[in-house]
Amino acid sequence: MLNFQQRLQQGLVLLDGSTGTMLQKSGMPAGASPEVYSLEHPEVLQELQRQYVAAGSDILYTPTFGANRGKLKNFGLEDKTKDFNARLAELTLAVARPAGRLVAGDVGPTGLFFAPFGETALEEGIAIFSEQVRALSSAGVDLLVIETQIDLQEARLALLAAKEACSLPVIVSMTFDEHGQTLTGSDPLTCLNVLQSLGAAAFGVNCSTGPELMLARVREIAPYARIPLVVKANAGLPQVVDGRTVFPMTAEAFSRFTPDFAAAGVRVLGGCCGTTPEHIRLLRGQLQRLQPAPPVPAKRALLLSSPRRTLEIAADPPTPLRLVGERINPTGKTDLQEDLRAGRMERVKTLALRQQEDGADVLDVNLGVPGADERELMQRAVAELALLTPLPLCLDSSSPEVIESALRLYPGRALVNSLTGERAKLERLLPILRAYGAAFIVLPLDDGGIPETFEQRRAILERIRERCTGLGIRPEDMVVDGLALTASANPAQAAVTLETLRYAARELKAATVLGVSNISFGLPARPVLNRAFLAMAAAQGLNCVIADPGDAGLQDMRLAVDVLTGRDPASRAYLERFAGRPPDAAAGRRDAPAAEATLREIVLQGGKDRIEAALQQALERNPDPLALLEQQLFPAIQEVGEKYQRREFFLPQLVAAAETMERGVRWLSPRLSHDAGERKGTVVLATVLGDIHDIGKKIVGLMLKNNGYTVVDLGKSVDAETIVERAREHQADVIGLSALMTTTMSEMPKVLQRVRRELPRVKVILGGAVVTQKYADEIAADGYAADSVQAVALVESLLHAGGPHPRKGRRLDAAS
Amino acid sequence: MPRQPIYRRLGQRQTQADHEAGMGAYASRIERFVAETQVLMVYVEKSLRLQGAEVDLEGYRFSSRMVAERFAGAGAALVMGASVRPEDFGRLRGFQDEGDLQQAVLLDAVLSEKVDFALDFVEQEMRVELGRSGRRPGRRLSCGYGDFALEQQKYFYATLELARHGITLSDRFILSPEKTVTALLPIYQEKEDHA
Repeated sequence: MLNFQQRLQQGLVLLDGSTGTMLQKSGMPAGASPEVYSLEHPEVLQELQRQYVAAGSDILYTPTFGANRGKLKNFGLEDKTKDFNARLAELTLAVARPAGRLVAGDVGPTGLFFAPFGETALEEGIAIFSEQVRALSSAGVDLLVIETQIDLQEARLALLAAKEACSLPVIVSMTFDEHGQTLTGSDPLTCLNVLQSLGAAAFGVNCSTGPELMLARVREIAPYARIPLVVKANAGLPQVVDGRTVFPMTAEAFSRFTPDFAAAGVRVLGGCCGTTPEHIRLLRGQLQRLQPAPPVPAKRALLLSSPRRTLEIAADPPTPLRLVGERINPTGKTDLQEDLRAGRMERVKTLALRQQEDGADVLDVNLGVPGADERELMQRAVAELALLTPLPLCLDSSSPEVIESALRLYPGRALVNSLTGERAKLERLLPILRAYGAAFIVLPLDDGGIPETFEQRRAILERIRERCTGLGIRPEDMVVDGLALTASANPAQAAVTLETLRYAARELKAATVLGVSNISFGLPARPVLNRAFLAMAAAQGLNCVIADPGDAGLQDMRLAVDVLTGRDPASRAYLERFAGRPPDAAAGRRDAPAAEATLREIVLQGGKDRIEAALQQALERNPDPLALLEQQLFPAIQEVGEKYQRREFFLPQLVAAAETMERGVRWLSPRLSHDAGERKGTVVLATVLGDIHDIGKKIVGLMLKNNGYTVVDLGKSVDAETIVERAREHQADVIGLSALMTTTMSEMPKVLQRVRRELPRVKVILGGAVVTQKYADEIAADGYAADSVQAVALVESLLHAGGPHPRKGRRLDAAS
Repeated sequence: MPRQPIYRRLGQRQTQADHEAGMGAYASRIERFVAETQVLMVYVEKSLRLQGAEVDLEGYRFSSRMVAERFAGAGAALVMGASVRPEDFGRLRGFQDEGDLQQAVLLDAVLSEKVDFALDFVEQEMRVELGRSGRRPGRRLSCGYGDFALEQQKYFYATLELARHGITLSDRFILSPEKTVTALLPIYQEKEDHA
């Protein structure tokens, strides 16, 4: 009998259809475990599987989707894991073997959430999957299928377990929602890249949606697939009709997608929830009329992935010059060294985010410090950064053990820095890189040190390539480092580096990388040399540069180089950066002092740390604090409110500006004359009794203060009596009430009644997520404001414009 | 977890990408908060009986016409809850107390959406799980709405053993940290259809 790989070479392969929904139709009681039911009624299961064989399935799945320890624990059957898997596999084998069909051991999700995103330890997950895989493998299945995976990390662990436990081919199939993501936010290309690099024999999509949406997913990823693609769609999106979940797509409609899937490059097809032997029979009919699409070689590109994003590095057509941020490196940074020795990660995270903001594409992570446990630090860093940033990581360590532990944990496809021609490294590190499917930087040096000539470097690279090929590692997974040496020590080395890059790009067809700053070590005006060298290297096909993303001049050069080497079609990125900049604007470091900003700009930018100094300077130029307040600060905060209303500013910007304004006003107040400092009115704010939410109320208070009101905030869960007493005490003009729960809204009329009776001149306005204008009208409040800007406008209109306020609290301008 | 709900809570329109909306400057802080906070999820299935407006969850009984109507036909319910860690909530309170409202607003949005995501995650898992055994989930419902009295929080509190996770229940049935959310998810049996 042909094995799975041989069967694939023969043509398109047909899987079976659904088991769960068909067992229900055959009488399985609601709530029963399909695994237990199958064991108790083997004749029902086997009859169904015979129907799939008769319909034309090449491969039957064992009914072991939920037969892992994690899921069986829900039924108190976890100790039966091995036994269940063995017996269920035997049932399927008994049907498949006489008919010459293959059997796939079905492995479903555990329902657990794994590190680094969840609390379940990595090795616990691997142990759970390993137990099931060993049982299925021992029973004699022909391949494994890890399916309906909603989390990339769980899928990785299952695949790792399978690879470590047996040598069967493994299909890994993910489930994506209608937006094309897994539940934990991974897109199809990222999943494909990670899992095919890790050694999956085929990659697929199943469940969740019908064939139409799956076709879209397949078309996205097909150009990058180096392994066969698998599709097992539901019979359409489920609908509830008369108390039953119905999968509406008929067998005819379902099968009509087959030619499109085949044309898109799918090699293995089947049906998931709602499909029946009839669906499979018609699929078989379609397949018989089709030839598989001629295999299209996958796009020649290096793909690096974080759990959330995939970065492409390609030569044809060339992708933009990629930037590997180098700042997470303790060399020369005593503060980072101290932090790492003490086990603190804060600075690492800050460096990661700053480099991301500055435009890095990849983050190099080097944590080697004497006196610290590098392995533990690297694991922690990988866990933290996988959550923190969507950028792929470059794991930088001279220790193969550190690299291995990080690769095992990282839920993406990392770049490893680096492999050399040294014997120990080749023997120890290369198998690790292969096992985890990592991409890696190759340095053209060996046990003899750094070669002086290009020919020596070429010989090392060729030796490394041969070793890689022997282990089944693709040249595309290598990134050759041009190995820049300092020009001051040996000027001829620059040319050797450039020749190495050209050779790697054109002859080895490998991606290339360069740490440009090495070239200028020991020379003055280092940035000048670095940028020049970058341009020269890019002309030789350089793909990636390792540098400080905060070097704005280098970033400018990177974009210029992309234009000149055809990597920025229509100069789009270049124009985005430089459009509007004065022609002679010099680029500098990101932390160079900015030109002096106006008070208005500082408020709009939320620069609360700069406002006091700016006010001081402004007063020195024009010693009229009232003018500053009325002509610059108040208009600025009003402009902020208007931008917020127009959705140009959002809540964080509004709050930042308001905090800046508050600090500025607090600084100015002692310098104002008494009457100039007079407030426009007093507003008492409170969250009503029983309610403990108050962040929105605080923002309202801040905005009112900034607009010249005295604000007394009574806090949370305040009863009616206290609100009225305090309003009386402070001679309030307005009381603002907030409630965020429907159950606490009912306190508002109580407050209103007391106010009307005891403080008839005081206005009462309402706010909070559950409150509406309609409700405010119903209880005869004086107004409702949906947000802090509307609250200011409402108070203004109640106290300073007279008459009933406009329905939505819109601010009246002075003319109306 | 998806980021869009966080940005929407902060005012971004659904059709705008992060950078277009000018939220890029806050993205790194949001990412940091997402990475540094954790959410707790707990759930347990209970059989359900409905009679008129009376709801019986394995011996715990209460009245709610709204629950009875919405859950009609369900034979079981998932009692579920999600919350943030007390230290994460403490951090939020700290920002507010220090007057750093900007950080407070960002962290508040992250925590709120993370808790919602946790419940969505459980629901999604259950959807696949239940589907295999001829059952399906309905729409979840939290107490404090309609006549599903807030008082029933005491049932969730006890059943999910929330005290073990540092969550408290006030005498007005408010759970603290205030980001704690509980819900009942109805579970329906598929009508039998023997082919």
